[in-house]
Amino acid sequence: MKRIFSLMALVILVMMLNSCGWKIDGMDRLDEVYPPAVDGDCEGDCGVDPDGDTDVTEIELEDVEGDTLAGVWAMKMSLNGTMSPIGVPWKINLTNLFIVNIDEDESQMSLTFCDQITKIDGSGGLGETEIPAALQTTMEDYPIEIALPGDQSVSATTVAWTWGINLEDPQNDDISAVTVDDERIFDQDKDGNPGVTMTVKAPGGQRYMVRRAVWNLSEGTLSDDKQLLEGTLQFQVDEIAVGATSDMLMTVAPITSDTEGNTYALRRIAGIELEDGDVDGDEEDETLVDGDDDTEVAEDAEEGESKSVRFKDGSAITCDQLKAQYQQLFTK
Amino acid sequence: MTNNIFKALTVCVIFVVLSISGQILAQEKSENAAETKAKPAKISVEEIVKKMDAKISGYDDQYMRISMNIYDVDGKMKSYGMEMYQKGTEKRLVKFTSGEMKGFATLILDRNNVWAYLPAFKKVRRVAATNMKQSLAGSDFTNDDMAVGSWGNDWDITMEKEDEKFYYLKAFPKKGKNITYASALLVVEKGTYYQDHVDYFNEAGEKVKVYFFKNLTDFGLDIKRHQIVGMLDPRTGHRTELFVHEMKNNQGLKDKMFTKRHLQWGR
Amino acid sequence: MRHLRWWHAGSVFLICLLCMESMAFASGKWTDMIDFSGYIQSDIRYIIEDWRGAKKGDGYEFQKNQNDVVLRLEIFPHDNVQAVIEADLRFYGFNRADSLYNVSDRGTSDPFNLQLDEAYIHVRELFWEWLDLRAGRMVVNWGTVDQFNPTDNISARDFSDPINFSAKVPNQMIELTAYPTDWLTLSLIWVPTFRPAQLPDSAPLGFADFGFDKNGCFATAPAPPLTQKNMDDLYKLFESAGDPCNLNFVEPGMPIVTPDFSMKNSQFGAKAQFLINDFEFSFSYYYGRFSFPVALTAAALIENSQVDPAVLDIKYIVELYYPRMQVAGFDFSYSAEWLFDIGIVGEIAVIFPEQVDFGLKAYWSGAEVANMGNNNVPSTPFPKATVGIDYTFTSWLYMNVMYVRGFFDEFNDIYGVHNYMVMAAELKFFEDELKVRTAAALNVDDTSANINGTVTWIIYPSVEVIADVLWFVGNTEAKDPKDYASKSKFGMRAVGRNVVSLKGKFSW
Repeated sequence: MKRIFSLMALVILVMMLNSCGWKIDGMDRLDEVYPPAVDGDCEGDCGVDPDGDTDVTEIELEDVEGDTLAGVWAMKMSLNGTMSPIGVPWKINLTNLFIVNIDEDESQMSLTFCDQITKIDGSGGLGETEIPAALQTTMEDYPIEIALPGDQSVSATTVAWTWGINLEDPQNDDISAVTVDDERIFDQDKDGNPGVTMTVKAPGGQRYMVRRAVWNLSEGTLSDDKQLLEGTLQFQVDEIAVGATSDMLMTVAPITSDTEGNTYALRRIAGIELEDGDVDGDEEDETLVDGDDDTEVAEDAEEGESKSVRFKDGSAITCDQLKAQYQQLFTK
Repeated sequence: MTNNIFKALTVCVIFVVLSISGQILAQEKSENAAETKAKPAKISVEEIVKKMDAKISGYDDQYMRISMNIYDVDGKMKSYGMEMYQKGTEKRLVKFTSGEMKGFATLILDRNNVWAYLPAFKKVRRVAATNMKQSLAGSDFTNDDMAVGSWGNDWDITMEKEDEKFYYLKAFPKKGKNITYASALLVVEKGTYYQDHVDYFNEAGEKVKVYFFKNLTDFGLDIKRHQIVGMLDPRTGHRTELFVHEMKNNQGLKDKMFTKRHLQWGR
Repeated sequence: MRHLRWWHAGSVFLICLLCMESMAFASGKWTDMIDFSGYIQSDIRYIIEDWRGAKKGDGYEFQKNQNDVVLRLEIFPHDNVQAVIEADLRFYGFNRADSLYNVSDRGTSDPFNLQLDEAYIHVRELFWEWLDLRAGRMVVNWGTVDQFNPTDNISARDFSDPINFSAKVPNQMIELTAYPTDWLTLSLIWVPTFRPAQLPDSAPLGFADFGFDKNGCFATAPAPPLTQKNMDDLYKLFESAGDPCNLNFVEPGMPIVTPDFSMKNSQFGAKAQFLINDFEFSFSYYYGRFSFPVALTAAALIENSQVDPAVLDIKYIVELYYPRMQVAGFDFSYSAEWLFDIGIVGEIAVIFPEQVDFGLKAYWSGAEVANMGNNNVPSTPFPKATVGIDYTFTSWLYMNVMYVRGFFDEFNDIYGVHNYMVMAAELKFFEDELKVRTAAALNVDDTSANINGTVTWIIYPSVEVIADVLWFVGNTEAKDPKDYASKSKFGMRAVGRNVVSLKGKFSW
């Protein structure tokens, strides 16, 4: 009998030892059943593939000299904040891309909107938006004009930028109670819907909205080689949905801006727009020959001399090029 | 003449002597006969009970195949088949073999050690002493009645009276014996020591049950028992009779048959 | 020639011998070896309310129209060998032929199934006098208490019929029982594969019971085992989705993570039972799984409706799991002579559970939009216990009262382990021809209850008519729809419907 008891006790002991640390985690199980998507694992239309071929001409980044700020610049504005559409705070980053033209006398810079890229951390794509082509094309007709002091600097300034609504005092007018019947709202992108139409990626659909962004730009700092101008800013964005393709898109979660980490940067793309034949700014015509693609270059530029690169149509960069290559453009 | 008188006298004396002797002898005989008849009355109560118990359980073991016939006051009867195994005076195994109770079995080791196999639950369950009061399948027998062992062990018995045919023994449960009835009157047939019947009384002295026996039958192999053992409720007239179809004794039933292990076995 | 005649004679003799033996076998010997019993039973059941169903207003209809033919064969080829076969042929009694194509198919219009409840062999005195073996498909019942046995984990419960809550699920197992002395019994059981408990039809409502308002619009979601803050965030997600009337909850999914059939998922039980004087007690050990499922994950899959872009289709999938556990048990039974002969029984089981952490994620068009998790079952050992007394007042009145700590399906998850009082009374009339039994289980913590009344009329021996009523008392809605632990134990709709039942049974 002792042996039987001993054997039973031994078996029980082995089983108890075997069961130490038993645990099952539901989160792991969910990842097993619904594996999270890995970058590069995209199926279907995943938008621009940064590793793939683009159908836009790559900008050749050669140093473009200029003693002044005059010329064409690519501008990237990075705005950071948080939003909590479902009560869980998500980090949001808005990247605004502009082509900036600074006139010869450096009295103002004109920002032509190219794109706004939205990224939200932790939302799995919920709430992210996309600028439709109609809106981008429209905004080309509404450049933002910012006055410059004329001394090769960008001074601290406050800019208000509105979409889809005319405000008497764009910086201060309250738009929180705006409804679709507000007379100040206009169909800016001319698509038949009030305000501007924004594409919402998830949940899928379109939102008709009005928006007002106020930027408090700090003084910019020009690099020694005068190719890069950088600064910081504070911002506030107010957005109101005045219509949508579905009810759920009528809710726009407010963005609380971060107090630090918001930046703007301008990268020189071309010098002043020269008269035909005058490539180096000496007010004398040089012989221009065709460069790559749609560019013109001075035939007799000395080796090592900077060359102005410009497009035959007078522009120095297209929005598509900027959207495709802004990350390289602003990588030091 | 003297010779004749002497002869006559002698004859008379002889006659008288013979008569007296005869009377004396006759008296002695009758006295003996009377003595012989009176001997049972002189047997002790313990002896009577012992002999009575021996008639009931005086075997090493017993097997009975029984029909339990339950009669209501209208005379309507319902019947259940049973088998009963007994070893000594205490150990008993009772199994139902028909009806909705089929498969139900009770193992009685002693009054406080009773187990039941419940086929619906496939489980052996201990029967608490309190549950011994419950009737067996609606019969006039309680579980306690089925657990009756030896009268001598469980009851204090005295002689109440006797007559020509029977002993009337008054019985009270012994201290510590948890018996349903407050008292009993055993009527035992003189000479044979078979129980004729037993009257059970409650605390109020009311007769609540009568345990009766009928049809003394020879089951063969020197087994003579009553074929019908019954319980009557004198208050209602309701009665239950256990009809013994078959009885076998001293078969060498093993102790292991009277264990919980065997209870679930089914036969 | 002489040789041939001898051979002929021998053959004839041999054949006669064989025939005689056969005749003896055929004539009666084999009938002594078998015992054939069983019963046929009809069960008609009617739902007597319309507020406990999956949809409000569903009710007042027949729930069962069932016929069972249970056949039991016990074969005793030897004094120490027994083979048992018990099969249940069940006819459901409801026509399922819903198309002209299957009206001619008897199997569809009169569905049935055949269940094997027991099929085992029992060998006594295997090799040694004190050793028994049982192997095959069987039900094992441990414990001393009626019904509420926390130490009884070998065979899972069968609650597919809430009225018959003593039923168990059979399973293949091997049981060795040793009787070294008359006061000690040792049992070892090995169950190769796990079989969980069977649950009533209403069980899914315990995990995916969505509430809708009178317009049919979403009102409440089933509370998963999450913290209050998690639930607040979850409801914000629902609110952000817009008009609740545009939320279309499709049929929820309830997959179960079933253990594979590896050796490590076997179950094992050991028990040592003692009988010392009038006191019977035992120590037991069980290694295996809890037979009731607990919530492991929940996934909300949200997509824009293909039909109406304004509508969101939401599929809620709750995944359930049978957690592993070990149980150390003690049980006893005692008849207290010194206390009016009351029968006292008790069991206590200390359960060592597997820790279960619950996770919930919401996916919107395939992208994860929310995740939250919480510990559902901690690894801390916890007890379940039952103590009961029973008493027979008179030959016609019997009562049983029990205190139960931890109902069958409680596993110390977020809902916790609750306290219950269970009472039963049985009255017998007309020489047991009529029995009335009432039983109630009361959850002391939330005062919900389950009441069952049964009247059995034994018309003749073997013929019974049984009428039952089952009634649940308690709020069908949880006190706080966001709190998993606030549901009413017997009020919640998952436990079943209020029904009356009429059965006729003939047994032999």
